[in-house]
Amino acid sequence: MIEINKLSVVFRGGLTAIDCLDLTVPEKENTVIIGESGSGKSVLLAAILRILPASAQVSGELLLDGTDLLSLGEKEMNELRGTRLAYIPQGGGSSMNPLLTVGYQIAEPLMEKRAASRRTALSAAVDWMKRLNLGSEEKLAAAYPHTLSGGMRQRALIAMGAITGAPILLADEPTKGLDGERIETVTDLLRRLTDRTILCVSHDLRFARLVADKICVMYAAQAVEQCDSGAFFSEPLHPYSRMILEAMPENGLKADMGFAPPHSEAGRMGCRFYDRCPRRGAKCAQAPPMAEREGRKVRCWLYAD
Amino acid sequence: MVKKRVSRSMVAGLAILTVFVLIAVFAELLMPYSMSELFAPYQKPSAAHLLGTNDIGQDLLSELILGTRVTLLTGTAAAFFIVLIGTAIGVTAGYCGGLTDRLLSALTSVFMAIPPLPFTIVLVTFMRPSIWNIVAAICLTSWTSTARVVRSRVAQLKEQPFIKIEETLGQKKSVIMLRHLLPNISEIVLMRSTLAVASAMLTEASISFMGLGVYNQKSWGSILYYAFRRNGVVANFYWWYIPPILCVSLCIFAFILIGYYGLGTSTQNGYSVES
Repeated sequence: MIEINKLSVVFRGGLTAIDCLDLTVPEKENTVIIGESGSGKSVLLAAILRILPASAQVSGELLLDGTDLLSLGEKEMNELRGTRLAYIPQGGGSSMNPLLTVGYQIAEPLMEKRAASRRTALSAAVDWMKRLNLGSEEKLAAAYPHTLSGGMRQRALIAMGAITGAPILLADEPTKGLDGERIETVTDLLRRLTDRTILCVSHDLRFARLVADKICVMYAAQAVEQCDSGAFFSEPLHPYSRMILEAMPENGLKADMGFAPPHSEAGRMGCRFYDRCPRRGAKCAQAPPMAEREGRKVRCWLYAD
Repeated sequence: MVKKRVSRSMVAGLAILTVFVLIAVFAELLMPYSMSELFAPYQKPSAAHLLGTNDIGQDLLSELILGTRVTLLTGTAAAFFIVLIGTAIGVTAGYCGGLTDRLLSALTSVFMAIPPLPFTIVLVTFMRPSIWNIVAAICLTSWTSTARVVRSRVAQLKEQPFIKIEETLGQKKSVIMLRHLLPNISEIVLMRSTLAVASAMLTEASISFMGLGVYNQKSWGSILYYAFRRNGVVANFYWWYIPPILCVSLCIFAFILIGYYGLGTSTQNGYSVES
């Protein structure tokens, strides 16, 4: 289980990427963080893995089964990476080493972290490629990354992250660049990994609906709503959550989702969503508390009473 | 389909170099006379002695053939260690960054500030003359440019996503440096090593020319040294001093063809992709 208490990440120059975040990632459940670009989702994963640049100042608590990750030495932290915590990155063009074969790169964490033999690791790599439905897996394992399409590379990266069997998987937009059928493959795989705790960042609400047990919505460095997936998709509480759900094509593209960071005095000092909120009131010029309602958490004055 | 593409410059360089390597390996078989056979001194080129004889009557062609071995050995050995030290320091500084980078970069700057040839001459003067001492002296002063070039490239590469991903997987620094960074700078390392051979051969020739080489072993530099010392130049015995100059120049040219015009300008890792 991951427990995040009052986590803040501030970059040199004063940019706050995460502002006092509290989040509990329950064991063997899938938690999906959604929110628009720049809301601090990927920074949160980087903070958990402690791979933020030196210019980032991290405060608060990041508890992994009771151990504060922020208090660990670099060597101890590196031992956790790959064995307890595994990371599935976004699959851009340079996400794999161009000079090593795909199979070797998937197998390498198993050889290094679990001391598996080369043959065992390569065979496990092919098995994972089959689970992710890459096609002609044996041939592909011997190929170089430039021969893979974006979607294939993304699935190879999922295999690379998941192969060590680390109980906690941190995934940064695992369905980015995949077509509908491939998204289904990845969704199926993540749903079948019931023995793992998964914390996933995504823009894809349809994917989130299929995979998530729990949803955390982030807006401008803050968590604005946390609840069970079912409750979120059937009855979103925060005005921002409603807006993003109404903007889904199946909901009729009702909302105008133009991006606007907090720009007014009230937006900066009070509710971060003030400038875009259709339901703002006089109270919203003050920072709203995280209200609790029927096991759900919402950062909005509408539910503060 | 992946097809190997080798430039014409590289082929030319490799051809010249192969000839020199074969001469060095089979020197004893190719020499028309042994060094202990003495003839009339200062003979002009003739059918019996294609490059004439020197001041003590040794056959100059035989001397030139034997000299190939020492010059090539010194050059390649020095280049190997230059590239080994330069790459190790460059990769460590570039990847680790921070204090390690500052310390190693400062060390590189200090060695860069020392003029290489005078410092090598001073070192060789105070050390016992041997091939390995000459190699050590050349290495001490010549690794710096390789370290600088490698450090800059590694500092760029370490920001690439595939290196960052390895870090998130908890890979050891040594694994990242050896298995992920080193193959990606192999082209630079190969290019630097061929240029280092050329530079080391030239330094060895200069040291031998100044009479600081290994006195009982023939090298192209030592042939030049004796040509100048024993009136070969004053008397214009061009067959004595021109051939070693040509051999040094040709050999360096071959390495430059391979390293600069061959490896340096080829496509990534010498491969091009055809679909």
